[in-house]
Amino acid sequence: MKEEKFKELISKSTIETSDDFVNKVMQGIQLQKEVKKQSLFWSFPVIIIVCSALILTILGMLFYTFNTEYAIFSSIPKTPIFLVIIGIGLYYINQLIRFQHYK
Amino acid sequence: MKNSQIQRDYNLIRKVIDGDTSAFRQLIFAYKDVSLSLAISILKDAVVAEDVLQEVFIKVYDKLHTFKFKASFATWLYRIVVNTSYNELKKRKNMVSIDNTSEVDSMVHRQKEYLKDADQKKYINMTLEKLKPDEALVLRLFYLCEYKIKEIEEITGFRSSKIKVNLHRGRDNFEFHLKQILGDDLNNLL
Repeated sequence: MKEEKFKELISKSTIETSDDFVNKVMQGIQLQKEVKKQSLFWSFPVIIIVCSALILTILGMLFYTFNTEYAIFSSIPKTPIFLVIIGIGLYYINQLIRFQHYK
Repeated sequence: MKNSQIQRDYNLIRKVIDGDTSAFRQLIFAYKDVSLSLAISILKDAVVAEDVLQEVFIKVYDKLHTFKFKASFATWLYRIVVNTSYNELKKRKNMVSIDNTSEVDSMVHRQKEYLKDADQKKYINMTLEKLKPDEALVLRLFYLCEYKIKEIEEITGFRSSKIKVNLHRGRDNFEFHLKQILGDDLNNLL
């Protein structure tokens, strides 16, 4: 077979995609964007930074208030509050690890 | 590839990076059919190839910001298509191993019956399906996309000697299978 004929034949070998191909791709892209948004919200560094900042702020506030002589704070039990704060922190870290695992 | 086409692609890519999703639609429209043809060359299955291609375009959208405006978008895209298709082929080969000698014989018989009403394009694609993935891919890149050996090297990662061998064998095998499928009707096609 001659080279030109060959070229002519193979140039006819383009195969068309299905009609809804482009829409399917665009839907896939949209879906990926949503997943990314979600994963950015729950991303590891963000969670760690936010949790650390939150815990430190609350701890600082508690230390400050416990050391002052406000009557309202002197009656608050310290240990349960510490435990609750640490519990919340650990819960969020656990959620984060689970999220990373399932992803 | 024409410079105007390359510039058009660059403009579209910049728009996509700036957040214009409709520009990406245009890029898909421009390249979807040839990309599918290349994927089919390797995978030999239109449904699987289209799934792979969807995955490719989503991946391309995601990585478009890493595109360097030095090479043509088509070359970059086709390289991803080829790599992803070969990866899928590997996965599938690991999953299923079939003895296809008798399968091919019966397919030829069925296709002969079917081909009575088929047009040239169908004959050609059926023949290409019978070639090895490397041969069909190189033939399409060379004759359909009109790439030079150097560009095919970039897209496939094959050495030029391998490309030349595949081109040579591909041409021979294409002619052989076309004769086998069409028999006496080959002269009508030519």
